[in-house]
Amino acid sequence: MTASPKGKRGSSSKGDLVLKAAVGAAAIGVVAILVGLGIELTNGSWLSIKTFGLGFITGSTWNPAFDIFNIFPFLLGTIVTSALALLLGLPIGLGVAIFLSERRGFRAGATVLGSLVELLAAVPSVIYGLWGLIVLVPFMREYVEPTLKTYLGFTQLFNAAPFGLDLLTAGVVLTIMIIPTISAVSRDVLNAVPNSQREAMYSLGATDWEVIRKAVLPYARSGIFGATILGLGRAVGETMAVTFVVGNATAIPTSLISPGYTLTSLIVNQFGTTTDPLSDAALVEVGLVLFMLALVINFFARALVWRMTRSTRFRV
Amino acid sequence: MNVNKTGISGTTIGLVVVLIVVVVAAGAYIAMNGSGGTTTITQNNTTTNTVVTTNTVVSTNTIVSTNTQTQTKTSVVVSTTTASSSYLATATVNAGGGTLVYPLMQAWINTYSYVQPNIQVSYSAVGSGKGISGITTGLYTIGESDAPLSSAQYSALPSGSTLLTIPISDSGIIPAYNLPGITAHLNFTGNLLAEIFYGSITMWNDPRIAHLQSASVAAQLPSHAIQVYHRSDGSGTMYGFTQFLSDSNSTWKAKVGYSTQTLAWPVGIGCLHNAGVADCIATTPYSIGPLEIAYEIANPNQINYGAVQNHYGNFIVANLTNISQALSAGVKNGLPSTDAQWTAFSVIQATFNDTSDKYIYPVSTFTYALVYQDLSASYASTSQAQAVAALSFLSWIVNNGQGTSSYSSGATLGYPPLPSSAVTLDNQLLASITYNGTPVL
Repeated sequence: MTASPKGKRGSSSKGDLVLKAAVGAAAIGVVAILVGLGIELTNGSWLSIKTFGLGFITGSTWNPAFDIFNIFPFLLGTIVTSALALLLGLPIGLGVAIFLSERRGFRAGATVLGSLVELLAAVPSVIYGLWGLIVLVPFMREYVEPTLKTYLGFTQLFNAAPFGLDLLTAGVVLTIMIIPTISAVSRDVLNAVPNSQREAMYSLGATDWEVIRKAVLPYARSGIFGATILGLGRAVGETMAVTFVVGNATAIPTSLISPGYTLTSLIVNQFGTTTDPLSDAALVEVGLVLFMLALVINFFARALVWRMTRSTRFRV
Repeated sequence: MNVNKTGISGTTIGLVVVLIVVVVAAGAYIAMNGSGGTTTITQNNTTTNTVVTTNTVVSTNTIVSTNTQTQTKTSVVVSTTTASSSYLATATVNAGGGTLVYPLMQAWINTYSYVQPNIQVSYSAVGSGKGISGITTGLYTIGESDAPLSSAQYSALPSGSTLLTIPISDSGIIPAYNLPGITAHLNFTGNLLAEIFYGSITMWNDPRIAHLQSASVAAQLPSHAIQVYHRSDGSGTMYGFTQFLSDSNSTWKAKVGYSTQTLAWPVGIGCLHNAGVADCIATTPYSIGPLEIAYEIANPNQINYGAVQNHYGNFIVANLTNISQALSAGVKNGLPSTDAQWTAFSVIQATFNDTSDKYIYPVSTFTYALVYQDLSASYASTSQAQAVAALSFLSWIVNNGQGTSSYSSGATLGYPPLPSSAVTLDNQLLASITYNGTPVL
């Protein structure tokens, strides 16, 4: 390693090469981990892929006693709880982001609020599960769900006996968990909207709310969509919070307030109890499905957000 | 990168980054390879030489004197504590298996560390399935399972090996329920329970439930839907319960079956672990769910539970005594001897058509320790010191840990004690385990 004389510009070409190699190795290492994970998951689930093929995802019977493993009810549960979380979480998360990025006065309060919202993300998900079980479930069972059943029970969506441990409660818990994600990313996206847009609107005589609605939000649309998909990615992967409150019933749920099951809860409950290679492989295949789902969602989201913010400092 | 201004050259930064990457990679490699179970076992081989001389000390002390132990168990306790001058050599025993016996296993390990301070037993509650695969690969010296091996699992064992299945504890499963205003024990049959858990019976005041109760209790049954709870994870408790349901009801057997894995429960909500089921039942009126008797004993008066009809015809409210009696009846004809017999064995099946024992509780099962008969074989991955340690531990828990001695034991934690007939059979099995041709005990 030759020492470079001080004051000479661009002289340590060997050092540069080493640095590039080291950094490149680190980057390739990360990609290798991801690829390795995918390969291991496929390898471990090969027996199950061979046995069930595509029926694994479309079939709806999960019966380990008879060696039948199909995950459609769990896939449905994951999709429904995550969709619920998005439906409820997007307005709230976006509202927080708008408040934090658009309010010109009360700067200190905005910083504190921003930190508090991000604290929500710092709470371990098991705590959310416990809180959900002890506090939210009785509340849903006694107040919210009977009301929903009385007024909206004519739709199939709310037509079941409410016991609190169901898809709706899981959706509410997930909402609280993805609000920080959506609000943090949306705030960065909103800050990336050039001031010229806002100034132009103001100069035309628009009110604050009209500026946001007509100038800022449409401009930031793809970024906000990306933030939502990031939140979706988090909701799909949540495990312990959902396992405590979702009801863990393997039949296809008939309404939002009947118990359901998600892919992540399945792994939690099933792990350690498998007694033969096929059930081991089926469990790994559930992991593979989750892995691919999360990968696709996150990749799509990141691409959207990156496209939105690439021209500014606020790269996500 | 302002290399020239700060004086740190690109070379140095590159070196630091390479160093970090190498350290991380090395750490990952060590972590991946160091956690393999086989490496820890080979470390203990260094003590093999010194054990040979102390082996004779073990045999002359005869910690387990099978002739006298059945008469006065307390005397055996005394004799072990006075033999303090001859502690066994240091060894670590790796055990692993089901979660049903885990609280009891922890209490046993803790107490045993006072009996034999040099021996360290570690138990991993990874589930019955992993307990069986652990003994198959030699990861554990003692495996533990709530169900005997299936024929597929027997064929996966190393060729030429003989695996012994030794009952070490047991459980009874009770139908727990939460009915406001009713303090009596409701009567259930296996068929009725199967219909409730299948979803065929949905109301508490269904005539099929009412006609099993006395007139006063039947009149109290509420006109309310039954909320069914069950376990969301797999367990030995559910294995026993669903085996009983399968034997009682052909629809259950055909559609749901029984397993130590998670089950396809047709109706109901799944709660995690016994504690979860108990909590769900306690907070939901008009609910029912299967629960381990140990849990109910540890938390009395929280939940009510019903009586189950045995095959003599009596409705039995489970307690430690009648579960032990059921187990005693289950081993009346001895324990199975061949693999195929073990695969088909269970106390529930053995007592299912037992019309002579009047007061046994029909939903009772054993939980088993799994040990190879020849511990010196390569597939057992066990040193002599470990073999001695493992067998003295097993012998102690079978003879001393069941619930008749003063310190923490099976009965105080709510596990019914092994009946003396089972203890005798276990001691015979343990005496047949050899190391290099000689019996270990």
